[in-house]
Amino acid sequence: MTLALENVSLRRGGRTVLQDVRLELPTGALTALIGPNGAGKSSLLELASGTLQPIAGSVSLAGRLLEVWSPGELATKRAVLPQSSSLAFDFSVEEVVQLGRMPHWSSKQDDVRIAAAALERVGLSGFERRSYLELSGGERQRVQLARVLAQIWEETPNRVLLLDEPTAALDLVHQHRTLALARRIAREGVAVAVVLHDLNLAAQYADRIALLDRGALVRVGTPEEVLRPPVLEPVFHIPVDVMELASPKRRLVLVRSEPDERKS
Amino acid sequence: MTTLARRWRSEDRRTAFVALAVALTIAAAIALSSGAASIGAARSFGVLLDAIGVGDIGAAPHERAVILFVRLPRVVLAVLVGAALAQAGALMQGLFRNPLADPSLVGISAGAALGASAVIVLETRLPGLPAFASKLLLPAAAFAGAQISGIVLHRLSSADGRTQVTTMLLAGIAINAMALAGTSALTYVATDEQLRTLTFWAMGSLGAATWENLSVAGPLLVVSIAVASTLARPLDAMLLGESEAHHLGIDVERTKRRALLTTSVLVGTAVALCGIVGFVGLIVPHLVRQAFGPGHRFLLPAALLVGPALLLVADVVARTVVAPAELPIGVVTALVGGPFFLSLLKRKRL
Repeated sequence: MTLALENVSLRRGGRTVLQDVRLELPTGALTALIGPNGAGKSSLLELASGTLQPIAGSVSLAGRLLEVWSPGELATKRAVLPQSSSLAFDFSVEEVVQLGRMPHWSSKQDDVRIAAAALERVGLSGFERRSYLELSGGERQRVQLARVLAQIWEETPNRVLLLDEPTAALDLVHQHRTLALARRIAREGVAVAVVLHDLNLAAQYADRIALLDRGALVRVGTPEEVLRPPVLEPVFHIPVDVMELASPKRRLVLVRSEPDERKS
Repeated sequence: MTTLARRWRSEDRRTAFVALAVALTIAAAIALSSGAASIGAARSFGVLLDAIGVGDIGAAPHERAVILFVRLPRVVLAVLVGAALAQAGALMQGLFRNPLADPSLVGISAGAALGASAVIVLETRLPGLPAFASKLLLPAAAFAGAQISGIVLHRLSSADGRTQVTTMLLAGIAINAMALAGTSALTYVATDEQLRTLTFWAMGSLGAATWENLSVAGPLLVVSIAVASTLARPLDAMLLGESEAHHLGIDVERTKRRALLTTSVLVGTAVALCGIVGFVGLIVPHLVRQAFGPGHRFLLPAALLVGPALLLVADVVARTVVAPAELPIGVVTALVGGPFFLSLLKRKRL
């Protein structure tokens, strides 16, 4: 276990947004966080990333409470990709990625090399000298992904990568490339958590799926365990069919009717 | 495909710094050698060397007086104030993550001006103060005004550990308006003599350049500039966003407090010395970013070279266009800075 959320609860604006959630993010696995809007997926990610503090329970990395880690040390282990970025200054692509190296105080040569390698991983080789502000939304999101990859580049134990809806701004090809990359990163010894809305992307790439509903963790398990009509229907309030494809073996979640056609 | 080809690559930046330093030296030499008395550049330099005991050019007493007690303090003042305002602009823009945020835009300068005006108008009504306390009162009040504006701004626009940039800029407009109203009220009750001081000072002027003033302000500015240089890395991270900076291990709240405090000292001291000289904090960081990119490790030191050069040139213009009279330097920077700001607005479609 790398990152562990132990019975965490969170209140925001007088409302309980997470209630007694217990979730572990193991090294080597990609954990997808799914659930309806307002289920608490992003809040859970914010607890794991330390931007919010739980009112009850605790969050620990490698068995040490987050509060015990120094912020600088934590930043060498844990990288977070927000939903969208609001960078308004005209950095070059290379400069943005190199900002990810800030916690390491490594040499300029190392930073340049790692930034170039990180850009290569997200398929943006040759973009180093481009202006960040002139890129498309999807390209910017991939540059930010390269930045967080550069942040936890070196192989050290207990690395964590938290991605909040990384596919939101991306086209079909890059949605798949990004998640395939996230899974490869997990295989390299990183605990990866991804907030996703698309259940089929979760089915295809997640090792484990955590299903949240109204601030509670409904179910954690493999895609086969979680992506079943009896589990999904009470949470999403919509009838679904789940198809099993034989080769390659995977599941497909299909919605049976439009939401506004159901009664109640 | 847009590359940043016109920008100085990192390996050439040292060359660029040398070029900027040379430009600043030339600007200082021009400023030192221009004025009502005709003492040229070589002769001015000779008088300087003479004064520190290197060589003897047989400088006349009036030449020494003009160079050492009129022009040189003025050059030093322009350098310090130019550096302070350019640095303050760069800090504010990093803090607000907006290239148009300028101390004068978000009410920091206006707050400093209100504090300083209060001292100018009300000082005579206070019981007799010792002379040195009275010298310190003006910069202290200007700093207090700047810092109060900054804190109010921060309180209003920060919630949940995050800064709402839009709210912050709108709050800045309101603070600006209130501080200007306060300054106007003070102007209204001022005596004729105070009114002259206020007016001259409100337009911005380097006329108060004396070694005595500089001995108070100089150390303050040098210390704040040193503190500002420690903020380069955290501010780079802040440009990505506050939560992103937090994820990079930066103490966001501490960075914001230090940036605000440093800005208040820089702006307060500059305003106390020579009134409101606008747009330097907007123009200089913008030009530097065009050449070096937005990274603060280059922006902050480069602004320290470009700001003084700009102010020296503006001062020479202010002293020569209507010679023997002299334009307030704030008028010159506003005449250049206003259109510059508008063209930025148009280009950025903000």
